Amino acid sequence: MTRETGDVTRVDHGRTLMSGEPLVFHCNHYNYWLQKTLLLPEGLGMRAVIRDAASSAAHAMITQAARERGATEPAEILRIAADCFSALGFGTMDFSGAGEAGGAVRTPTSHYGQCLRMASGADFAEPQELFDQGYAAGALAAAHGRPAGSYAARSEASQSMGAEVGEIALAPRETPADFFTAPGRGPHAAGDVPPQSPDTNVDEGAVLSALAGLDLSGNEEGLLPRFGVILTNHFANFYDRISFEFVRRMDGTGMLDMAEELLVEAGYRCAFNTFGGIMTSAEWDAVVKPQCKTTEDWVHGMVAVANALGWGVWRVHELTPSRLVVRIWDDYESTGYLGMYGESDRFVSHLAAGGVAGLMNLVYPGRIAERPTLDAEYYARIFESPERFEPRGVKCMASGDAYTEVVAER
Amino acid sequence: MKPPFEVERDARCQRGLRFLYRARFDPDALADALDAAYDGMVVRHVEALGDTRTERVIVQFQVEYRVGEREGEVSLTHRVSASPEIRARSHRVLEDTLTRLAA
Repeated sequence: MTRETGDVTRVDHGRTLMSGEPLVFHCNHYNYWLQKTLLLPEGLGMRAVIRDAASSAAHAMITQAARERGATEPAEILRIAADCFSALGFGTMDFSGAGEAGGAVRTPTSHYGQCLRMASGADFAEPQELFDQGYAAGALAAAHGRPAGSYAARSEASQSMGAEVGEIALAPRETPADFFTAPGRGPHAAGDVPPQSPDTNVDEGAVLSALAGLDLSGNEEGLLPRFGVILTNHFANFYDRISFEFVRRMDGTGMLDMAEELLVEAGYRCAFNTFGGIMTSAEWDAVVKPQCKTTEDWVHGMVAVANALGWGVWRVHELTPSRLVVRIWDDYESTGYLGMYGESDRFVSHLAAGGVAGLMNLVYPGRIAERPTLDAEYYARIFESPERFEPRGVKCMASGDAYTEVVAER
Repeated sequence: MKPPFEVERDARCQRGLRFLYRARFDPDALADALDAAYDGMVVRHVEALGDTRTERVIVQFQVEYRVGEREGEVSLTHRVSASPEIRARSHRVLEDTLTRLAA
């Protein structure tokens, strides 16, 4: 399958960029849970935040991709936009009904429209394709050389509500004064990262080399089923913007701590489903499991795989059956925060915190090596168990530390 | 008569899409037989991971069969847009093929 996308660049500390926009892998379950969390409190205006974050990141990537491909005509640029959408696992997007004056964009397949339903188990009462709406708006603006926020988008038909094909209506608008601008790669750590911990039988270099040979782009439906989950190779700046704006707006209602806890909970869901999916997958059995001689090797093995997800470089600093200390260089939450808001006076790496504790919950109380069925009942059993691990953010690059550090203990 | 395979529905993120079949079969023979069952209208890829060689047999917009990921196991993953009729057919093709190969 030949697609014309932007240039993919591997940069330091495990980060990957497409046309300057940093990418990170996340699965449909995390995407479902995060969006559900953000939309839970009414009155925060999060639907517009999600749409505009998607629009800004897509606009930046597509504008740069068009430059890289020498594309100048709107139709050419929209072809690139559609190819990028599919390559990154978001689905398929048909711009043939849209022009500079707006119009209709169709999504015959959609991660947000179709794959979140698998996670929720039912149709939704409201359209979930906010990302698709923003992407379509950003792409059309890029194609016509307009600013990122210059189209409004709404769902006319939603697959998340049962429609066979998604349809998005776009109309020109004045760009809102506070429209978000994606910061690209943002500030990042200088210097070397320490080598992998010597206290393991897992060879991280071998794991990364093996995974580098896998095709992790969308299939002919533009979707990315892998490791037993459905992945997206998503915009880090999208996740960062929607998460931090949620925290900021919740802070305004006096619920800052609760907002941060909810994002950590989303990180648990990510660990349970994405890490759990990976650790029970055939790919894991082929590459990592043969190297796992001890229970602790399962932790090191998953950390090695996490270092292929674009989340920064994770290093196991300390590991016992009751405690894990992970240090992270260029975690995407910190770099995104720094690029968007500047230095923080609080720990911001909530996904990483939930991921670190979630990994320990899977390996120790969850006994992932015995291949349990990873369903809702099992999640409740291990994440609500008295034996569960809980995370503590100790250092954070967004607060000026050289690396982010998370301690998970029980 | 008991079928010569066991089937397990994946309860995780790909729930409703992914099924694991366990049976005794020769991986190359199974991949070739699936290819033939669709009159060659498939896309095939070989994926090597460590010592594991997986044959992906893809019927576009319908189904992906992954043969050889684990010994004695073949996964069937429906494409999201496959209709209920196509999904039923995808199961039937694999089950008939496994049954024929076991005979």
